[in-house]
Amino acid sequence: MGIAVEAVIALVKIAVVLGVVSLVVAYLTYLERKIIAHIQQRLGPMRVGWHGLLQPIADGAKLFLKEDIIPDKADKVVFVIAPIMVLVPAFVVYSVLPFSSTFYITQVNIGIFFILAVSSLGVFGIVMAGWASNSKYSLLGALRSAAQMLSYEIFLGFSIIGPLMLAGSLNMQKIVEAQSDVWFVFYQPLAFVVFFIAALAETNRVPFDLPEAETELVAGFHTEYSGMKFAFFFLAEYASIMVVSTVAVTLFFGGWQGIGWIPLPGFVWYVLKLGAMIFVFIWIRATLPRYRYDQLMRLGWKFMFPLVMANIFLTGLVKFLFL
Amino acid sequence: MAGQLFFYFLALLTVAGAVAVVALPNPLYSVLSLVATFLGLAGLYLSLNAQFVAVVQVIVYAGAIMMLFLFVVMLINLGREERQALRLPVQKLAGTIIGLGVFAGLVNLYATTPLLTGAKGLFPAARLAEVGSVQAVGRLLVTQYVLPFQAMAVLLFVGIVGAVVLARRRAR
Repeated sequence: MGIAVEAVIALVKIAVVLGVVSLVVAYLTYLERKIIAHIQQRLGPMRVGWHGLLQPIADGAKLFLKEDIIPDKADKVVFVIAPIMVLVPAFVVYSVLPFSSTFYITQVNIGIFFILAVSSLGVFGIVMAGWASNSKYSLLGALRSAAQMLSYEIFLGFSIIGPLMLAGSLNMQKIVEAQSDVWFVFYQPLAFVVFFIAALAETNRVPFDLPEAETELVAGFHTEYSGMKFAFFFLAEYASIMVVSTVAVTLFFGGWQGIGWIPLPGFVWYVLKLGAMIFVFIWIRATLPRYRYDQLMRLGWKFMFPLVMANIFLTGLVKFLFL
Repeated sequence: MAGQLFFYFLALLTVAGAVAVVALPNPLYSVLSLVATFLGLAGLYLSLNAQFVAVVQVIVYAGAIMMLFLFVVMLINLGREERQALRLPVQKLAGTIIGLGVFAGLVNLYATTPLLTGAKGLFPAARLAEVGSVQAVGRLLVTQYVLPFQAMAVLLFVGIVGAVVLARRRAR
């Protein structure tokens, strides 16, 4: 009996998180268009609903009703599986994210590691999409994306080791609890900078959006996709932005912990911090030009890699000597 | 009961994936099947309470190494005729003999060694929940198994140096 009740509770939680995340992700696209528009002194979407508030729903309906085209020369099976392979890992990760001190789907001892592992599977979908489309632009986009994500995954992984050494745990809840006095961003500023840059590259965002560089590759790996399959790639991209932002908030900004004595529930703090983080992502997209491929690799291996290594060494030294 | 069900599902996934790797005609499908096999293996580790090993299996093998395989297969992208031409005549025979040999060895091992199940060993489930699998693996790596660990580091370093040397010679 106990197991059945637990299973039902877990299913309800999963349904709630899935529903809310899907809706929030849809509205992230609206937020992005609006913020970029205002940064560029435009108005952005204004027609559907008050100040275009219903725009994401209209877009969703449009994509849902659109004809689903599979190119003749494409590898049909892989072409259909690819968008699913991108979307599923992006959403599975939400199962271990700590939304507040009491609300989470499950606690895993190796939470942060689980997130890294599952999100590293998303790149398979991108590469499969690029190969299955049987188009030069898609293949080039997919190859770029694979090389980029493989290299920057390394920096992402190494940059979180510093904060993890301070927390002494891989459990997301315990990492948050370890920051009740001081946020780790003050102890680990270097790690945060590297983490943030690597996160931009992992999510294929400006200035590292080479895999879908519209000026050279049409749309990169999803050039040949249309309708709901295209929407899947889109949703997965924004879902992973939310995931890396959550990891950043959890590891460096104290997760659901509040500031000072302001009495707000943990969940509100989490949402506020997450919102600020996502705003920075969008802000950067409106501000920076794109990196060239060789510049991307040089920045990674010659600058960020030594930096994270030095950071791990210093953190270990300080911890060994003073703590 | 539920645990057993999971085991059979994961075992089926692992074995079916492994069979598909050698049976499928397209090398890209083979790579994807191998990914499925590795994910099944990771699931099996997870059900054995080895969370850290499971996650490393996904990150290193399913994530990074298979990605490189996929990369090479996609870049070369051979047609059916070219693949046929690459086949050695003795390949099938040699593969069968080696495969059967390994299988016989495994059967022999299974028949002669008593099986350890459950709470034996240095880190049974209860102790693992107490110390955490990362700490357990980490401590063993730098104490009991420090020599193999360092030897592996040297091996990887040699690999990196070799790659750099090869790449430089090409550039000149």
